[in-house]
Amino acid sequence: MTSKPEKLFDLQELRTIAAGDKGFFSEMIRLFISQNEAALLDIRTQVAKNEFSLIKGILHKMKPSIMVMGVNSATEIIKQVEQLELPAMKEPGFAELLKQLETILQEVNDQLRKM
Amino acid sequence: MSSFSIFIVEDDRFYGQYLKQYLSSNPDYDIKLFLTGKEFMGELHKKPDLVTLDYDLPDINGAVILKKIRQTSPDTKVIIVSGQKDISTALDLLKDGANDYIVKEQDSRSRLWNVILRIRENQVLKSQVEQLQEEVGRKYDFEKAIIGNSQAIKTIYALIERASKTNINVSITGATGTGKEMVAKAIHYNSPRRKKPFVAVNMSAIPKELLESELFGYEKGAFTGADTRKIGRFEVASEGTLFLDEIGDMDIALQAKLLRVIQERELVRIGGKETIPLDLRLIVATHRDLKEEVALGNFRQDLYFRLLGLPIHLPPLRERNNDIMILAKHFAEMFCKENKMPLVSFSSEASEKLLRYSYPGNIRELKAIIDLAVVMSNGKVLLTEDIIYSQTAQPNDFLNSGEMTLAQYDRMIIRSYLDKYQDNVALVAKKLDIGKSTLYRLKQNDEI
Repeated sequence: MTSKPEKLFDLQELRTIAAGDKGFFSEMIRLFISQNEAALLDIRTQVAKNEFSLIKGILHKMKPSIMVMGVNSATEIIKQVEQLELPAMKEPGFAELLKQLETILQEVNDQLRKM
Repeated sequence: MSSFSIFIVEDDRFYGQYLKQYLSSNPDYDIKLFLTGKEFMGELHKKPDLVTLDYDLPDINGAVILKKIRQTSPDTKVIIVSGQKDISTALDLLKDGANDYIVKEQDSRSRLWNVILRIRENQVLKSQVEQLQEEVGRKYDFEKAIIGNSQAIKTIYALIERASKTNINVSITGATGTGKEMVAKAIHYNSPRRKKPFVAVNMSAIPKELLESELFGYEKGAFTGADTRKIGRFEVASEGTLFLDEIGDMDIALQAKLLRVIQERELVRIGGKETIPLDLRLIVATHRDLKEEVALGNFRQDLYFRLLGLPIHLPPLRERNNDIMILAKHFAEMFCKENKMPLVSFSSEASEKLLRYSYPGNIRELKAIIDLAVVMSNGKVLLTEDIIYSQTAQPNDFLNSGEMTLAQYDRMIIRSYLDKYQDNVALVAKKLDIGKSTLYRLKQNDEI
């Protein structure tokens, strides 16, 4: 028996809150996409400057909206990063985590744009 | 319910809109979203009912904003909504005056909803308590609580008004049943302390050996049987009024301790070490003549002068002849309303009978007589036979009023006739076979 692949995101919570308000729903999708893009750009900038302590703060700020949109895979990555101490953030494993996160969020944004 | 204003302070625009949309599903909530601390501070003067505050704002720290809210709008409730799970941060914010702390997690919106509901319910309860306090205050509006039209009562109204405007101690004297506690309550509920406790202690109702612990409280283990700490009546009355009834019955050893508390404005619980400051207003009452008790060595002179403050003497009901029928009608009306009965009136014979009686039990006795009369009456008019006195007392029994001088007896008789015949001097002079000029002189000199 094969298990269903986990959804990349889940808009049920947003639909519940929108309660039929399509204008609100569209606006929230647009906001999520633009906030993600800004945050990912910010992360790339801080990585280039080796400002790893600031990256945690950026991810911490992104987490609530990512949870609302049901992007569980991204939430798990952020939780992992939150547990890391500064020295571990300089390891290659951390860069890999960030790459995974970026890939997931860009895919989410692409799919949301197509809606 | 009336509108409830909520300010959401959240720099994450997505999350802020999410909370705003969710909370807006309650039509009673009036919600505004602020994306920066500075923007919010500019509107804080509007004193919202509740603020949800993100701790990690980029421009101003959440703790600074919380402090500002507490200074500017102390009644505003604050819920910190934060991504931080750090318990020590949460505890610090709660100590600094936040009402709750919610972490931004999966179920945070429903937790926020429930916290707000609870805050609103408490607000409604608080408002109901304030309303009830106002109603109690109106009940003890002294012209409604203390009924009468006699000169004596008008004097008492004036004294109550003076007493209620300051914190001066008040000593109320008067026979049993003259309304001493009513006067004490009228003073309290018309004073700035009216929303704080009114604590009454009847010194003669509590066994002597228990009185000290009742007043001062005790620490756990202070004596056998002290299984927990108990807060005494002094502390319970904090910021309010402590009414010590029958102060003349207080044991002399305890009087010394009471004197110390009044002088120092602090106490130590039995078995305790900590000095506890006191801020309360003291009213005392007694049916005894405290000056005489001091002379007999039963009451400390220094305590007597400390307690004297503003003295208010309540005359016995027989000296308030003008007020007997006013009170009787008031009690009859009250009883009929409470028992959903048609209102009654008084026959002239019943009124005369009431006016002739000496009322050793004063107002309390009059009320009991009227309540019984209404019950025993067969119609809407109270008759002579409905007015029943207790077997120990006799109507018109001056000798039961206590020993007086001949001049006092004379004045009492003249007063009762003047009341009976509506101050008709000529008629009263004829009835009593005395000169009109004598009556005029007595009236002019305020001797009757």
